Amino acid sequence: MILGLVLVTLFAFLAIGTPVGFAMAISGAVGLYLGFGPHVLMGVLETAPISAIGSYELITIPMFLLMAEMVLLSGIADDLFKTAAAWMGRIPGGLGIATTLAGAGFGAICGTSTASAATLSATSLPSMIRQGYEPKMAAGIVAISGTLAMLLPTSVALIIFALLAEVNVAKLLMSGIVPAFVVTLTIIATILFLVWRDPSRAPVAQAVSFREKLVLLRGVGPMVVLFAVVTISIFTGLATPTEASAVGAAGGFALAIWRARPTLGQLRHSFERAALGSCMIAMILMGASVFGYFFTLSHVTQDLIGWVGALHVSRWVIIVIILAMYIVLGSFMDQVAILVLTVPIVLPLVKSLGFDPIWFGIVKIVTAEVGMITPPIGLNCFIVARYSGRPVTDVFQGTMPHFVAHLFAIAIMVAFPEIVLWLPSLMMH
Amino acid sequence: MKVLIQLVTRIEATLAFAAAIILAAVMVIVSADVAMRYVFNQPFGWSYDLISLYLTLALFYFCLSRAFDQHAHVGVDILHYYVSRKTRLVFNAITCVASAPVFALIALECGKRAAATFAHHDVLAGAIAWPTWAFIVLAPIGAGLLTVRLLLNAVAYLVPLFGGPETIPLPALARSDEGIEQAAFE
Repeated sequence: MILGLVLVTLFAFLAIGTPVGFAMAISGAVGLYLGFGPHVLMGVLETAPISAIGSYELITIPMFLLMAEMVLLSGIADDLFKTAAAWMGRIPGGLGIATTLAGAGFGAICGTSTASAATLSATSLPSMIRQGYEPKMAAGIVAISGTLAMLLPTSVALIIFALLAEVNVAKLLMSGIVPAFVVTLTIIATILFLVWRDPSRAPVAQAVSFREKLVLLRGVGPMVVLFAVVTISIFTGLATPTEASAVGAAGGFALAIWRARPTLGQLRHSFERAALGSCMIAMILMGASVFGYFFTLSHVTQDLIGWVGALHVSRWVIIVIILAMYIVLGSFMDQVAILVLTVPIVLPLVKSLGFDPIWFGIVKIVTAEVGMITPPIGLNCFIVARYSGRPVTDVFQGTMPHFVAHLFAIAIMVAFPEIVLWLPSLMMH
Repeated sequence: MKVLIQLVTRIEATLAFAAAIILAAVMVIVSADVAMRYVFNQPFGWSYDLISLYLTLALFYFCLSRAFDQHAHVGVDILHYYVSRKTRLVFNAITCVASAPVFALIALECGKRAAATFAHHDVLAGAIAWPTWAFIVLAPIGAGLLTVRLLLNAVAYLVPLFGGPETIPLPALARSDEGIEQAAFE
């Protein structure tokens, strides 16, 4: 009875647009008060606001957000597409493939897919359309390439999942690399297939001299070095993810000072944006902590596991249902919000079915990212439509082939967990 | 009312600026710690507690109210596309009215805890005796300011429903041009 009331309260507040962290804190507080009395509620409100935030690992998030802000400020991200286009432009669908590679490169530095889609929309989309690309196809490529950001080691979503699931942050960050490679190949294969079906969709770009290609490559070199330093230091254990993120932010800061010579006002603006973004995520974690106390004391998760266990349904059917749910959620909710709302309930269930939590984290994030390009409300498509000036229906049509291809990619990752788990298994610590 | 909102906005801006400086400090301290460990084999002994307790909490609580004012906290606004502007004002007022008691209680309970630890001279066990109250007190500062902001916003959202002026604009919808501009670079 109380559980039902709390869930209705939560969804009612979410529906009217209450910030996710606030909605969870309110409904969790209501549940604690009604279910366990004012003393328990006061006890939780006295400790959770400190314990949920006071964590060294949590600093990884503001540091990666700051690193992204600094790289954006440096202007180096704009050169990514130019460089990829120079190297790939002469092959069929080359500019589309360059967009995908630029998306992967940008995602390696900036761990949010909306920022990635916006940047690609501003840089690669006009070039593709100027080149005579079918606008629907070009917009679809940009929308899907933005989603790569969530899988690479600066991914905020991966860190939040690690904190919620209490799994090793370093291993989880590394486990996204091979799936990101698989997803990149999936997008490229889809582009090649579409161009093979109708070559007029993607005319070949003009040739660029080898010397010019090298000059462009040297321009994005510092960004590649920055990503390599962060990733290799985490992989080898030279630095913890928190330390690597701070070194990455410091590197990004140096890059911004060197390349863009920003004013103090610009720097202040970038630092404040990173601070506000971190606060938003920490607020969701705090709200989830209050809500989590209610769930733990109510034994909801254990009851759910017991109920599912009694169903006598194949564990594969259950995982497919869970992943289908994530596609739906991903189409209208933020990745971070989905994580905090579902992971505390779904992960124990998934673990009880014998699945690896790191594998589940990666598959869940890829699946929810597919939601971001799913009609009728996938946010990435709206961003691309806004920046390209194309109707949003065109963008959705352009993403459909990628949507289908991604379902195959997810199926491969589900069938072969080694794709996710191989790289972290090589880590020494 | 307008003066109060301006005052709160100014306090929020000052604290957000402090948070930006704290963020820079964290970046410098952690990077320097790594360098000290590998170059001089002498990592800082104090950085872990300083960052995980004081700086992380300060970063969060100093931005909490500002983030609400700037609509940086993420929410689901699907229903807002299908309702009138008046209904949207009511939705936002409900959010503020329902959230205010939770953050007021956080401010109150954490404030009491900070006062108690201050009175008992509580410190953390370890090489450095960090005072406990000094990081607990950050919660009532941030949550208290947010409570004031929520109450002011609640009034500001309700006033136009009774024919008064709109002093605080409604948050931009995520799929509107303005919302996309904001979301794209967050």
